[in-house]
Amino acid sequence: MKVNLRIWRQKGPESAGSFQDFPNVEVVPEMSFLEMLDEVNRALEAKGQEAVTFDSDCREGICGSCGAVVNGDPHGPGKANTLCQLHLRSFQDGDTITIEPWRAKAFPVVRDLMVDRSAFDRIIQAGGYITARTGSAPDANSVPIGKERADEAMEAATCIGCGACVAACPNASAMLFTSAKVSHLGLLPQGQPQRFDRVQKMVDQMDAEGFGGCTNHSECEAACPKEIGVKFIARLNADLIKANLGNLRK
Amino acid sequence: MTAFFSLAKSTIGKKAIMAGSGLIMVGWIVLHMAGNLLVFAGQDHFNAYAEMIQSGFHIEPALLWAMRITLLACVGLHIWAAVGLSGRNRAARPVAYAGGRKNHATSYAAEFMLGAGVVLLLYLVFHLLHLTVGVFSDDVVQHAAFSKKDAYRNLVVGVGNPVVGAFYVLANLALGMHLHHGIKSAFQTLGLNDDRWNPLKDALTRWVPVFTTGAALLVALSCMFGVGVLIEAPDLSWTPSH
Ligand code: HEM
Ligand code: FES
Repeated sequence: MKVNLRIWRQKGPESAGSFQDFPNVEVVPEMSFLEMLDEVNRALEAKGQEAVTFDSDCREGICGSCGAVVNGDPHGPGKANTLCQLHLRSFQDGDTITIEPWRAKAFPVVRDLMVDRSAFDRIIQAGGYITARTGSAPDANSVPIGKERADEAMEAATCIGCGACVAACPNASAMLFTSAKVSHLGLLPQGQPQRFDRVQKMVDQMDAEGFGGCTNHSECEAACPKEIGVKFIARLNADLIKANLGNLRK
Repeated sequence: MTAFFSLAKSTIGKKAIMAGSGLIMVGWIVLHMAGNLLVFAGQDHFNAYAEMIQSGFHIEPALLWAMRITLLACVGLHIWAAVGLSGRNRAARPVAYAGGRKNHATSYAAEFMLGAGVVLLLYLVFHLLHLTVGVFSDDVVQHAAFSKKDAYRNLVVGVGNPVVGAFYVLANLALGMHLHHGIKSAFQTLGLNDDRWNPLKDALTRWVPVFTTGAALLVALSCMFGVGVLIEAPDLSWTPSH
């Protein structure tokens, strides 16, 4: 099968980019999307041209490194997917596939499809951790936690920080990411001591990075490869409001 | 107060202020529309209702002003938050997707929030000048001089003007859209998204806009087409002579 690729090329954060067309690229349906990009790059390098820069690491949908907007969808068509787990069988022979990077002020383009997501790291650094010394891993179930609560914390903890929520949001908001990172700690006993301080610091950092706010379109939830729900955004909102109105910050 | 100011500094806090002020206005608008339905009870009942409000609910004239100031504060805070947050949201994606971005979850109402808000602001200003202050005391918009004592006549004749009536209809359709997404959004903003709150949220999201927009359209169209409303006994003391 053959597909026509339109890939965003941009030399650096400050330069203007544009689409480069790759007509009639020979692919097989079993190929993953990133394998296709590898083939494109092999061909480019054979001609002595600059390869397309993109992020990837695990290629198993667990690390959160990969990501691009494919035909208007972060991580491409289909639900609960990462770009590395997208396969060419999701497309038809003769399709034109448009590929461009996440677009957000807080995620500047490094080169081509690669964006700088260190804004997410700084949100975590602002409070997404627990300072108590916990020693080595405790025995299982030494701290009893109800099943429902444990499941909910686990759901939040599945966030791989890929940035698809920001890419999908009409406001380039990082609320789903931040809410997941606040909730997976805030739902568990270990996260209680710094709960309200943490939420304020992480939200302040999120705002400082230039992400937009939430206007409840739920596009993030639809794009999230781990299907993390906007109910965590409600939790984040509740904690931030409580932190301020109850003056619960340390 | 310090809590309010610390809240106002973050995007989430601003949004909470927008939700709180919005919900106060929602509560008020439901009562306002219920009151407006009294237009179908006739001139005497409607004017008695209007007088009840103007007298401060027969309790204390200052109550009317307390209500007005509260609502004005809500409008002010709501717009202040809306303008600040919308500007930020636009700035958060300075370079648009060259190949477009697809939607999968949002609604027209959600996408039209700011647009509907602007329509509501224009409507609010016009509506107050039209039926509260009565500056259009001419034959073009009011068809007759405005009278503080005859709210019924002001409404029936004023909204009976086809151009004015059409504007009322459009603005209240925008109101319905704004409230449909707004109420849902406010619950989420205030952190009320769980099995306990969602039935109430879903019911209000559906029925409040149906009621407010339905009532407004019923009143406006009745005035425009002279159905169900009638100036029964044109009391000359209410109608300045020409
Ligand atoms: C006067 C002009 C108005 C403007 C400029 C305005 C603008 C806005 C904007 C931009 C939003 C946020 C939209 C979003 O989340 O996508 C909003 C939310 C809202 N508005 Fe308005 N609005 C106005 C009037 C009103 C009125 C009259 C009411 C109620 C009767 C109202 C009720 C609400 C509610 C409940 C929300 C939800 C708050 C939230 O998102 O959590 N608004 N408004
Ligand atoms: S490369 Fe690790 S999630 Fe795609």
